[in-house]
Formats: sequence, C-alpha cells, structure tokens
Amino acid sequence: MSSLRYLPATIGTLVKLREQLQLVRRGKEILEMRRDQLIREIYQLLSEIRERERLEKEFLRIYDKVKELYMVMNADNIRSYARVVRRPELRLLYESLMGVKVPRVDILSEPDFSQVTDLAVHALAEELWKLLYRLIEITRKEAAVENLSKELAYINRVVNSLEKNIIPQLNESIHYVEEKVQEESLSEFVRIKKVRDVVQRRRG
Amino acid sequence: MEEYLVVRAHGLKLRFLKPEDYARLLGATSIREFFNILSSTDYSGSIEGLRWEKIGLEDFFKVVFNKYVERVELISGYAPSELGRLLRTYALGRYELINLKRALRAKALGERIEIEDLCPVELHIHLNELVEAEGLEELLYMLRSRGYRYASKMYDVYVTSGFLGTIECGLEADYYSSLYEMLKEVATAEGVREILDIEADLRWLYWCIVFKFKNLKLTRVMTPLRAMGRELSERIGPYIEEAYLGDIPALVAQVVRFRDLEEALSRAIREEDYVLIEHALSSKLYREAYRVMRRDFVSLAYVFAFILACEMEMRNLNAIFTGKKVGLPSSEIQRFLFTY
Repeated sequence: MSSLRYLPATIGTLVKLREQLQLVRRGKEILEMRRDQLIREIYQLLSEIRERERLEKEFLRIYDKVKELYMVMNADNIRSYARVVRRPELRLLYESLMGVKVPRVDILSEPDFSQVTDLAVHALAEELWKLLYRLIEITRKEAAVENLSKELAYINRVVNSLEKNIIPQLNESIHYVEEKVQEESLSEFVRIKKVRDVVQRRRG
Repeated sequence: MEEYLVVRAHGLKLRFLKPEDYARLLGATSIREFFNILSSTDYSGSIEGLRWEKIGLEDFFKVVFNKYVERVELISGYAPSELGRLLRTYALGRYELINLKRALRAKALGERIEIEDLCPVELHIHLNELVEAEGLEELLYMLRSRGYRYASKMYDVYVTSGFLGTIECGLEADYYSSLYEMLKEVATAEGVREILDIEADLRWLYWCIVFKFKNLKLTRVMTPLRAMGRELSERIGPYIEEAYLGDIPALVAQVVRFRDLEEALSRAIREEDYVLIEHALSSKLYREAYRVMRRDFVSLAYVFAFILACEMEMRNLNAIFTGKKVGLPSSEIQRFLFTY
C-alpha cells in the first residue's frame, strides 16, 4: 500500500482509489456479516456441545454397570456375547457449512444386538450404543466448531487488517492525491489566468 | 457308599471360605493383598507360583474353576459309577453347556473360537471338536448325534425367529432332561430331585423372561420349556403366555416356594436393571441349596447342595477379584456376593 504514494496524482488515480476504497469497505462489510454468521453458528453449536458433560456422566454410569456385569458374569462370557453383535458401519464424510469444511458421520448400519441372549448384556449394549451415537454427533459438532473457529480467526485477521491498515492507507492516499490534484488544478488555473493576461496584453 | 460320600462332602465343606475370609478379601486394598489373604485358605495350592501382578480376569477364573473341578472330581470319585456320572454331569455339564453356547454364538456369525475362550471341561464333547466345527449346521449335527435333541429341534425356530436364544434354551432343556434320566438310576433321589426341580424351574423362568423381552411367542419354544419346567411352570405356565413382562413377578409370587423372588424381579424389571435378574435367580438357587444342606445333612441331596455351594464360592471369589480388578468399592462388590 505504501506504493500508493508513488501513484501519479491525477483525477484518474483519485477515481480509481475511491473505487478501491469503496470495494474494500464493501468487502469488509461482507466479511463482518460472515463473521457474525459464523459467531451465531458457533454459539448455536456450543449450546449443543454443552450436552457432552451430561453424556459423559451417563457414560460413567453405564461403565459402572458394565463393571457390575463383569462381576456377575465373567469376562469370557461377556466376550462371547460380544461375538454375536453385528458391528455398526460408519462413514466419515466432509460437508460445507458456510463454506467451511466440517466432518459428517453417516451411520450406514446400526449394530445388531438381537442375537445377544442375555438380558443384561443386551440392555447395556443398546444403552451404550445410543450413548455412543450421541457422543459421535457431539464430537462431529466439536470438530465443526474447531474448523469454524479457525475460519473466524482468519476472517477477524482480514477484517482487522482492512480496518486498521488498508482502509486508513487508502484514505491517506486519496487525501494525498486529492491535495495534489487540487494543487495542480490551482496552478493550472493560475497558469491559464496568466496566459489569458498575456494574450489580452498582446491584443491590447 | 452314599453315607461315605455325604461325610466326605461335610469334610470338604470345612475347607470353604468363611465369612471372615470374605470380609478380609473384600477389605484387601490391592491385588497383592488379595492374593496374600487367599494363600492362607484352601486356594493356596491353586495360586502357588502365580504372578499376581500379571493375572487377568480370565486367568483367575480358570484358577478358581480348576479348584471347583478338583472338588467335584474328589467327591464324585468316591461315588459308585452311576452316581459319580450323575454328579459329574450335574457339576461339570453346566460348564460344558456354557462352552456349547459360546461355540454356537461364534459359529452363528461365522467367527472362529479358540480353546482359550472355553472353560477347561470336556465331559461329552472335546474342546477341539467345538473349535473345529465348520459352522452352525455342523455343530448342531454333532450335537444331534450326541443326543442333544431339544437343541437340534430348535434350529428351525432359530431360522424363522432369528434368535439364537431358542437353541441355547434347547441346550439347557437337554442338560436337565439328561440329569432327570440319570436320576432314575439313583435309588434315594428325593432331595436331589427337589434341588434339580428348583434349578430347572428357575432356568424355565429365566428363559420365559428372555423370550418375553424379545417378544417371542412362548408357544414357539414350548418344547424345551416344557422339558425344563416343573412346579413353577405347572402353576403359572398357562398364564405366562398372555402376561406382560412386568406381570411376571406377581405371577411368580403365586407359587409359595418362589414368592421371595417377587421383590427382586419386580425391581430389576421396573428399573430395567437386568443384571439383577440373573443374580436374583442364582441367589434363590444357592439359598435353597443351603436350606437343603441344613435340612438333609445326611442324605445324598447334601452332596448336590455341596456342589452348588462350591459353585457359589467360585462365583463369589471371581466377583471379588473382578470387582477389585476393575476398581469397584467393597460395598458395591458385596451387593453381588452370595452369602448364607
């Protein structure tokens, strides 16, 4: 931007600089709008992520139940029941949220506990899967918040740079070119007057 | 000979862990301390040379299971051949049953099973045969050839219902049927029959609850259920088909002998804490075994009750070790111990 100082101080330059300032201001406004949208989106996601604490408590409760189960049955038995569970199939994809890449987890097939013949194992496994499903969703949102926050930080840097650096420099350059143009037009006016006086004297 | 067997059982019972041993084991603050306490009991020989810091849950189960087998072999070794066979089938057959169920589960989903996944017991079927069976059909064919007729019959129900529990229920029906068959050869079997009846009824009840939970019509699995059920099945069987899962405890309470199960079952079903169902049923069985031990202390029933007491001790020890290993507090472990 310091190169602006060496631009020819002409009306054309002034017009170009003004157009540039207008564009930068418009760009800044758009970025600010995008920043606000991102903040709104992040806040929305953050309120949903707050559920994690509750889910973790729930997870610990189920974990204690699993420990009890290990005590009542034994480890070999539980492993044997685990064999008849069809594992879930998951697919990790990325989608665009306001132009930001965020992960998405598709559940292609749910785990099948129908062959688990023990009631306690069956009930706990189902409970654990429901919880895991919600935890996967929360983790996805956390990753989205992380990516959105990175984008937000980048936009903030750009807006700050426009606000604190580019716009003042453009203003300064416009001011400088305006002064120069005014000076030039004034000297041009004086020169014309003097030429007119000389012409009138010769005629006279 | 039977009297001698009973006397031996009385003698062996003295080697059981005492309430103060349980209290000390529960109070152990580390696995090392747990093993130190155990080394001053009848288990000292079983744990000798074990590296306590390296022993896992499965390894410990095998240690206590071997002790259980040792006790069963000792007592059945003194019995005449028919009775000895009955005692071994009763005590070890249930663990062979566990092996069969594990093999079934693995084969049903086309997975491999290793010998390490099975209880070290070979009564009618070698562990290698279970490992080497190619699939569910081959395993069931083998079972059919060994006389497991209810399990084989349940295959069709399994195919249409898609629930492996039907075959598992059939396996249990085979186990109890074979025990009742063998019992016919034993002269003074009255007290023994009582223990078997209670156990078979409890298993009948367990499977009824499982099938209700799975929304499977009991009429479809009536054959093995009928083979298992005794007094409880006769009294409440006609009503249980139409009953909801939550109504079962009230139905059970109609039979005086099983009335004490009502509260535990109601709580387990109401709170959907199904681990308590298995615990309540096992608890009832061991309670009855101790009742028989106190009442028939000079009859053959005492020996069968003794076997159940051995099993109870094995499960208790396993529960304490597992509880300690997974970091449960003593109060929580105590809730799941069977003590009478």
